[in-house]
Amino acid sequence: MLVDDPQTLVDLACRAEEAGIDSVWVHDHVFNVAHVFDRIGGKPYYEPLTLLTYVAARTRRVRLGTSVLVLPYHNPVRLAKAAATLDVLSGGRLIMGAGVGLIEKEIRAMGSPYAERGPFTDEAIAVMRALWSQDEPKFDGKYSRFEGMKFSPTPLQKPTIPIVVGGVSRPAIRRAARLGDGWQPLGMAPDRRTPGGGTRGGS
Amino acid sequence: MGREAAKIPVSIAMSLAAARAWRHALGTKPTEIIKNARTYAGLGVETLIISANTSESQEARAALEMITCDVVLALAS
Repeated sequence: MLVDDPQTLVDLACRAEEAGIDSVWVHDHVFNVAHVFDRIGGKPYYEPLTLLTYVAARTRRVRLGTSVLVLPYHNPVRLAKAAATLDVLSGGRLIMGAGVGLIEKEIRAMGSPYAERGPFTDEAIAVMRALWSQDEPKFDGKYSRFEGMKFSPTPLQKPTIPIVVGGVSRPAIRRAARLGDGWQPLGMAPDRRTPGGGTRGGS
Repeated sequence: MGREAAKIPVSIAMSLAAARAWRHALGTKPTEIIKNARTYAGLGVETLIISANTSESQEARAALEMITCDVVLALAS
């Protein structure tokens, strides 16, 4: 949702809950660039987890989703903390859609390696799952390393917040199968719904 | 990979817009949206995420009302 008035966004979420809609979803961009700029120019584009936290405070039942968080925009440890906090505050309502992103300029601006956004995303998912599920989380990867420290809060949802992998490229579908709790294609025609149904390139 | 593709839950994100060559969309009228939603449901899609495809508050409110009043009720019946 790209509406520029945050109160309208929250009112829409409340109305959706009242109408029996199962879940409300937000997108993730840091800069107004590419198709985002084409659509909204310089209007405000809100940070997704902050916006969902505001929505969580005004709703009781509706699930709160990201469609999708671009993991190369985020430090996975910090993201795990923010997402777990939101999950606790919302009573276990978060669904984390996650993807690799495709706007090179934006990914580079966030300090992430564009050419390695696939492996970075795979590792970020593993990092978050470790932090959310291990009593004494330990990780030794290419981009993240930690041990010997407690992590809190852990999510209300066990064993972890559901991670739904977005994207229609073959790597995205493979990632969904290997690491995801679900798959979330965007703008996909019904005849391409199966993994063998034709895909675009990607990481 | 040890997982059957058909058992992976699928949620699909679609826009309220006319379909284009490069991107499928749900359509703009309740009848089109209902038809497309039923097609996805028949394929095993568990969740349909609908984007209003607008940055205007008024249009977003109207889209939500259309979905809740004309689409959700029809799909539930």
